[in-house]
Amino acid sequence: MAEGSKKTKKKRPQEEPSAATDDAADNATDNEVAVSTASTTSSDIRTILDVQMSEEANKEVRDRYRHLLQTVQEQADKAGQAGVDIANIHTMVNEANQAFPAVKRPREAALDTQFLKTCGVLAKLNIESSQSNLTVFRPSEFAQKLVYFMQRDSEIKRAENEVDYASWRRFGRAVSSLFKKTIGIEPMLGALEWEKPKVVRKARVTEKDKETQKKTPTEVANAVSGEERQTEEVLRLYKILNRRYRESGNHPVCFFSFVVNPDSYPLTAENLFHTSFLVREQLAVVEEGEHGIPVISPREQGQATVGGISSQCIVSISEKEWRDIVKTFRITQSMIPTPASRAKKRKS
Amino acid sequence: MPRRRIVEDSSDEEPSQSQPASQLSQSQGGGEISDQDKKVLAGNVCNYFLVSDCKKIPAKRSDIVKSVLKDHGRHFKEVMAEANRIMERVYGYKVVELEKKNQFIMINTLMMNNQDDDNLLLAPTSNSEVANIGLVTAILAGIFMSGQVMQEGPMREYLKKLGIDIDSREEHPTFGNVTRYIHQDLVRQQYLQITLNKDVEPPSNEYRWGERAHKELSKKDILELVCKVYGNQTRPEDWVAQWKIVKKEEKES
Repeated sequence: MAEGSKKTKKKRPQEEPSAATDDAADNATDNEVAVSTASTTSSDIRTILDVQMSEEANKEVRDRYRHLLQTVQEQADKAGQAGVDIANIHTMVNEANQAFPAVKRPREAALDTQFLKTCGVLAKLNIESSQSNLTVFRPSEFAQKLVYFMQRDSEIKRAENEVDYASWRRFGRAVSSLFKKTIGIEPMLGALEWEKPKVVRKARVTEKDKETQKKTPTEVANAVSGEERQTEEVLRLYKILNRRYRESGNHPVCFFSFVVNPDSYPLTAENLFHTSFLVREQLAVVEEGEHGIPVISPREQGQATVGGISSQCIVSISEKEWRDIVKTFRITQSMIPTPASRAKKRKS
Repeated sequence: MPRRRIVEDSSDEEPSQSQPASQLSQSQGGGEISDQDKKVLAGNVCNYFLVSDCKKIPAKRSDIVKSVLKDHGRHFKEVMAEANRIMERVYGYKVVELEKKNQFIMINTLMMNNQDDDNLLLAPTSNSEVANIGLVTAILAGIFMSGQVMQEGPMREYLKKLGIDIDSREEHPTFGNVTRYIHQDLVRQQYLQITLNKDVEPPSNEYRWGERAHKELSKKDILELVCKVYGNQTRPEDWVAQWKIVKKEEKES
């Protein structure tokens, strides 16, 4: 490019004036350039001024070119195969021509080169396509027709861009006969080496069996399932309640005295738990007794709900409350005796 | 040198195709392979092809030698020829070597009946792959009609019109991770060839037909499909440049 070479020529003489300006800066203000060297000319001075004072101008030039490049790229994408319209390219090249005089440095010149190259490529595309095709292929147009083609048998009419799964499948099935495609086979037992799985005979370990058998009978006797134990406990509680009730002359029993075990908080909690089952089964009823203290009395099995509305509530006794209750009600001995096995556990 | 006898107790299956390679006779020094051994090895190679074809990734010679031929690596050519014969005879599949050398794919030589759209019997596409074949066809048709190469920009626009975002990693309802499918899976399966063009700013992809596409598809069929899509009695000859390419392909085959 002729312009490019001009630039390099200008560069060399610039080196000399810069030495002069250094001296000048010492003696003069920014706007004055005192030239003392004989080799500098007036055009060189103009060059210095141009270079120094137009940083903004250069940036402007770069922006213009970048904008042009962007425009050109957008147009190329949109146009696809046919290439950008000649008139458009013409306009853009004109714009570049107008911007060019402002180009002062190689940096902007490089952008200009790039832009012209892109324009050239596009122009070439345009020429090729206009010469060879009577019918021009436009991908977007084809895509639209393809979408229509895929959807034409579908009952559900959808928006333009949405080709649903079923339509793709239908299209795929229709075109799959065009492919000389093969299907692989996935064997169950591996493709290459396989042998019939050998039956591994395990040696009988008889001695071990005898030992385990000896142990299990004793264990079975003690292994009562959790649920069964629960029902046992509930029934036990029921018997105790009944006895107390009769002993006190069919008088309802103080709820707390019944449930609380002064020696063990966990056992108290268990008693409460079992009592709740009693109440649920309507084998016992909890009511408000004298002074607002809850009392509990047993019921015969199958007896209808005693008057009132059946209600549910959650009763809880925290450890602190348990201690308070023991103190307040002066519970010295639990009505519900500690089960033998549990007593054993506690001792150990 | 005494030979080990090939044990015949796996006789309830079809003969010879799947015997373990360990039962082959010891290889003799001269580089000759017995017919029996050749048959056994070829059978194993066929099995190897059938299984590796599931993934649609080309089979490499080095892998075949390592897994199947083992000591008989030097007989590769012979065994391959025999395997090819078996595949063509039994399945109608032909083993084709790719341009890259020593990589192989299989194509189906049985001619499909194009008239019947619903000819499901001869369309060897598994159910899960059927929709994908539609997408592949659409892409390949677009590329072919655009002069056998499509730039990234036009490709993006084209796929957008089909309801597909080429850059998206999100699950497309039909195709899942689209960008991975197109840029990785289809390239590995040799349906697409994607190159990066560094001459343009910014560097962008160029999309071309992959080798498998060239071997499995006929360009004439694609052009006819395009005409069908356009409707309006468009004839393949109307597309002058593409028609030229079709004619050239016909002459070459």
